[in-house]
Amino acid sequence: MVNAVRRLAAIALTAVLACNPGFEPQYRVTDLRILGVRAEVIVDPADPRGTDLADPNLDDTVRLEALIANPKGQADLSDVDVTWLACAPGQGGALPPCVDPTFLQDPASLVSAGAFPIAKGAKPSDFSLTALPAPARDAFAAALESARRLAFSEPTFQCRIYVEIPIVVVAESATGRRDVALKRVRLVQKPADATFPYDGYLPNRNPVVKDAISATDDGCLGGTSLGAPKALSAGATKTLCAQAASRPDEYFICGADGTRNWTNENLSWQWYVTAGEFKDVGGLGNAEGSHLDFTTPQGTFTLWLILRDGRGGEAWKPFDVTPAP
Amino acid sequence: MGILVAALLSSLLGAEDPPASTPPQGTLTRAPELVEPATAEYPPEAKAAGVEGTVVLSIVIDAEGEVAQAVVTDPGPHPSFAAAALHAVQQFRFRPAEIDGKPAAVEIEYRYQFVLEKAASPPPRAEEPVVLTGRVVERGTRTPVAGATVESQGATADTGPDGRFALRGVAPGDVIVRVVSPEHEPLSVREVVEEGKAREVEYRLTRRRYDPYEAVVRGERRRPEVSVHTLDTEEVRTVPGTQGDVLKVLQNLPGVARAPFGIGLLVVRGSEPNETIVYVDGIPIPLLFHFGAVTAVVNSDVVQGIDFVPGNFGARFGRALGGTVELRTREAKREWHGATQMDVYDGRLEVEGPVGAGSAYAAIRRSWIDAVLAVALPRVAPDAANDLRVAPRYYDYQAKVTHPLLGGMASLFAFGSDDLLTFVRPEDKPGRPSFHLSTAFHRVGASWRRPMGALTNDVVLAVGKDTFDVLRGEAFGVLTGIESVTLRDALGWKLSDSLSLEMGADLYLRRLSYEVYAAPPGSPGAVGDQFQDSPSTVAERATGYWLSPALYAEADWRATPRLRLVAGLRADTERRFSRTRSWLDPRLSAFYSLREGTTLVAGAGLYGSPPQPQLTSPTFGNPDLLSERAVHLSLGVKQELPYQSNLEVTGYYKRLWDLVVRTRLEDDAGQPLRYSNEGRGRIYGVELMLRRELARGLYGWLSWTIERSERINDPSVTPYGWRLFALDQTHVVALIASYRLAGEWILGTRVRVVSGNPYTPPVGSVLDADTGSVRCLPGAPLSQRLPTFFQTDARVDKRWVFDRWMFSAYVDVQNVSNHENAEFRFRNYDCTQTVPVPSIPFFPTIGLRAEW
Repeated sequence: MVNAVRRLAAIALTAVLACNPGFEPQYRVTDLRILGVRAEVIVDPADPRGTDLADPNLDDTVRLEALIANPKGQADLSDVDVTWLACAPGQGGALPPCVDPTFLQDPASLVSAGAFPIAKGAKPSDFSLTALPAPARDAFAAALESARRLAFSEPTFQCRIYVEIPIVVVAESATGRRDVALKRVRLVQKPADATFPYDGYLPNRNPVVKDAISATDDGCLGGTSLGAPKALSAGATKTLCAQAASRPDEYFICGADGTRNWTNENLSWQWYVTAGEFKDVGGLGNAEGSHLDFTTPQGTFTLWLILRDGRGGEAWKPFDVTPAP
Repeated sequence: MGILVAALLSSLLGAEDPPASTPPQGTLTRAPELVEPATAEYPPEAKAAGVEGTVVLSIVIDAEGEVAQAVVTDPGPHPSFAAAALHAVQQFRFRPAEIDGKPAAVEIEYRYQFVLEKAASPPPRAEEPVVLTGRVVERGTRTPVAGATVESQGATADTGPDGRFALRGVAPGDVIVRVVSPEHEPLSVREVVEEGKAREVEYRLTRRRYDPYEAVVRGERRRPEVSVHTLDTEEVRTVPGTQGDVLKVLQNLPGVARAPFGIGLLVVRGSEPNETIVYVDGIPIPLLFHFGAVTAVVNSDVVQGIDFVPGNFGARFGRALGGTVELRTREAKREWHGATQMDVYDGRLEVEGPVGAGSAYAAIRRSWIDAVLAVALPRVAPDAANDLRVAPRYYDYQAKVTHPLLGGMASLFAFGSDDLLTFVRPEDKPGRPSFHLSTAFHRVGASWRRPMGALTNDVVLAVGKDTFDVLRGEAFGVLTGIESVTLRDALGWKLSDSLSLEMGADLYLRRLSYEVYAAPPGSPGAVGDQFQDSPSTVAERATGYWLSPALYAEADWRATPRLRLVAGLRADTERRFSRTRSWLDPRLSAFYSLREGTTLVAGAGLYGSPPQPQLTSPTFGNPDLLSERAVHLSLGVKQELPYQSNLEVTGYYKRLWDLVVRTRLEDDAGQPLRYSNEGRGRIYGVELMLRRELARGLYGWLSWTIERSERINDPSVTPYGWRLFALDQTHVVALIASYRLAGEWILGTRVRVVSGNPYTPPVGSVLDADTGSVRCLPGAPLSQRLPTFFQTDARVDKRWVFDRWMFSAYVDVQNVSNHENAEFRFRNYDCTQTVPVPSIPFFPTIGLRAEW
C-alpha cells in the first residue's frame, strides 16, 4: 500500500517537476551550504595504486575535504564550525546513527548514539583508519568479511566487496545556520587480502575538473574559461560548458551470474551560483548537466562546478566571476 | 425480462421477512413473471372526476407465484385508487422467481396504472371473427408486453406472456385502438378494419421509465456475512463521477477509503488494497481497473450485480485480510439485442441472443487514447510523441453462453483484459525500453448449478493466464507469467427449514514463472541509498508451482424464530516453491431479529493471507515468511425505515499480526533478512449507511465511516512505534443522489467529504554528497494530515426511445466547483518549502450509447 502511494506520489511529482512551483532553486546559494564532500587516499608516490584514489583500506589515511559555501559570512570559513563524524557498521543489521534520520536531525546526538569524531575544522583533514577505535576496526573487518561471504552466495556481489563508511559533516555558522552532509567512503580489502586491483572490486579514483567555459558555439567545442576576466556579460544568456580533465574511467560490474562486464563511469555535473539563473532545470532547481544555459547577473558572483563519477568519486572547481557590464 | 432479472437480483427477502415466506439464499436464476394479470375496477368517483394515475405497491410473491403480501407505498392521485389496485394485485399470478434454480419468494415494487377508457361495453363473444391480431412490444427494447389491454369500440383483448393478442368484435371501418399497460404510456392508433380480414399489427408501447421494472430492493440477499452491500448495475451506473462504471461505485460505500486521484485502490476497513479480493463469478482476478484508474476491467454491461463485503466474510472466501468483492455477470437475453457505447476513453460493443435452448452474449471494449495521442502528440509535444512507442492502450472482453444441462444450468464464459504502455527512447538498448508496462489476464471458465432435492451443487472450474511485465531501462525489470486453474465447488444441503449446511473446496493452482532484475534491496530506514553504481543489478529467475487448496464448511442455523447463527470453518494450505504454510480460520455470524424491521448482527472470525510473491523471493525478499493473520470483530444493527429506506450501523475492530514488514535483522550467516513477520496492526471504526432504494424515481445513499487504522513496524527499523496507516482517513462521507425525471432524464450528484491523508513532515535535510541530491529527513511517521478533501460531482443522463432502439447520452462532471484538494505535498530541494499537488480539477466527460 505504502509503495503504491509512493509510486503515485512519484508520478505526481514527475508531473509537478515539469512545472515551476515557484521554489527557490537548489542551484542558488544564499547562505551557508555544504555543496560537496570528497575523500582521497594519501598514498606514497611509490605506491602502485597511484594517485587520486578515493577508496581506502583499513591501513590508509584519507584526506577529507568539504566544499562549503558561505556567502553571508567569511570566505575563508573562519566563522564556520565544521565537525566530521564517522560510524561503524551496525551490529546485527542495526542502522548506524550516521545514516539514521532520527540522529541526523539532531547531529549533537550522534556521538552519544555511537558516532565517533574524526576531524574538526573547515580545512581539509586527514583521517587515519588505523586510528579508529578497536571495536570499530573489528566491525569494519567483520563487515568486509561478510561482503566477501555474500559474494559467494550472490554472484553479482563479487564485484562489490567493499564496505561503506558513513561520514557526516556538520557545518554551523556564527549566525546559527547549520547544514549537514553525508558521505560514504568505500572501504576496500587490503592488498594482502586481494589480488589488486581485479579481485572483488576495482577501487575508484576521484575525477578532476578541468574547466568551465562560456561556449562560443552550440557544441561546447570552444569558449572562454569562466576564470578569465569578463568571460560573461551581465544580463546575457550564454551556454556554460563543463570540461573534465580526462575521459570517464572504466570499471567492471558483475552481472547476475557473476560475469564481469566493463563499463564506463557515468560522470555527472552539478552547478551552483550565488546569483544568476540557469534555464530549464526543472521544478527543484537542481542545475545538472555538462552544459546549461545561464543568464548572468549584475555584479560579481561565485559559481561552483562539481563533478561526480557515480561511484563516490568527486571533484569541484569554484569560479569568482565579474561579468562585463 | 433481462432488465427484470437485473432489477430483482437485490430484492430478495431478508431474514426479517414474514414467516410465511422462506427467506431465500443463493443467486437469483429467474425473475418472477406476471402471467395472470387482473384488471382493477375503475373507482366510479375517480372516473366521474376524470382522474387518472398510478398506484405503487410493494408485492411479496411466494414460491408458488402467488401474491403473499401487497402493500401500497404510494396511493396515487385519488384516494379510491389504492383499494382498487390492491384488490387487483392480490389476484395476480406470477411465474415464481427462482433462486439457485428453485422457486423462491421475492419482493418487488409494482406500479398499477389507472387510465380512463373512452367507452365500455360487454366483451365480444368468442365466436366473433378476429379482426385485429398481433403483438404488443416495448419501444426501444422490443420486449413483449404481457398483461396489456387492447381495446377498440368497446371490444377488449389482453396480451399473453409473448405479448400477442387477438381482438374480436370490431365493426369494419376506421377505428381507434387503445393499448393500455400498467408500466407503459397508453397508446392510441387509428386502424382500418376490413370485413372478413384479420389485420396483423405490432404495437410499441413506451415504458414510463426505462429503469429496471421500477424495482425493488428491500434488504439484501440472505448471506452468511453480517455486513453486505449489494449494488444493482442498473441502479448505480448513473452515479456521478464514475463514468457509468459500477465498480468505481464501490469506493463510495462504507468502509472504503478514498483513493488519491480516484485511482482504483480498494482500501477496505483500513487494510491494504491487495487484501481485498475481487471475484468474477467466483473466479479471482488480479486487477480491477485498467491502468489503475481509467475504467474497470469488466464491462458494466455484463455485470448483473456486485456484492461487497467489507469484513467478516464467510468461510467460502479466504486468502485475504480485508474484504471481498463478488461481481456477478448476467445471463444473456433470449432475444437478439445489442449495445454500443463510446466515451472519452474507449468504445465498446455488446451483442446477445438465443443459442439453442440457451443464450449467449459477447462484449468487447478498446481504448482509443492511443489513437487520439497519435494524432495530437506530434502537434503539441513532438519529443514525447517520438518516445511514446505504444500509447496507453487497453482492451477487455467478456463472453458467456448459458444452456440447460443435465437438469441444471451450465455456463461457459471467458473474459480478459490487456493493458500496454511503452516509452522507447532512441538511446535505449534492445529489450530495455525506458518504460514498459504490460498487464494482461485471461480466464475461461465453466459453471454448473443444479438443485437435487435438498441438495444443490455449484461448481466453477476455470483456467487462466496472467502476465505482468514492468521494465524501466536497464535498472529494473519484472517479467511474470502465471498459468492458473481455479476450482470452486459448493455443496449445499438443506437439512430442515431451520438448518442448512454448505461444504466446499476452493482450490487455486498456479504455475508461476518470473524474471526480476533490479538494484539490490536498500537499507530500510537509512538516508540515501547504498551501492549507487546504478548499472549493477541483481537478478532472479524461477519457475515453480503454487498450490493453494482450501476446504470449508458452514452451517446456517435458525436457532429460534428470531435468532440465526452461521458458523464456519475454513482450512487453508499453501505450497509455494517447496515451502508450505497452513492456517485454520473459524468464523461465526449471528443475526437477531429484535422486532419487525430491526435486526442486530454480530460477527467474529480469523483470517489469513499468504505473503505477496515478491516478498518471498530469495534475492529480494525472505522465503521463510509466514502468512499474515487477522481477527475481525463486528457488531451492528439494520433498521428498515419508511420511504423504502434502511439504515445500517456497524462497528468493527480488526487486529492484524504477522504482517510482512521491512527488517534490518540478519540471518545466522549475517545476511540481511529484508522482511520479517513482525508487523502488527489495529483498526477500529464505525460505518453508517442510510440508503434510499430506487422508488418513485429517487435513489441514493449516505455513507459515513469513522475509522482509525494503525501499524507498527519491525522493532529493528527506527523509528519504532505505532503510526497511522498511509491511507487512514478519520471521516469518509459520501452522499449519492439520483433522480429520474419525466422524459427519460436522470440527474445525479455525488458529494464527498473526506479527512486528508496522513503524511510524514520533514524535519530537516542532509546533502547526499555522493549524488548531489538533498535528502529530506522524515519526522514522526505519518503524523500530520493533508487538508480535508471536498468534491462535488454531477451527472445528467438523457435517453431517447425509438421504436426499435434507444439512444442515450450523459455528461459527467467531476469537481463541479473546481475545489482544490491536495493529494500530496510537493517539497523543494531541502523541504523548507512545500506546495500542494492538487487532485482532479473540474473535469467533464461525455458518453454516448445506443441499445437495440
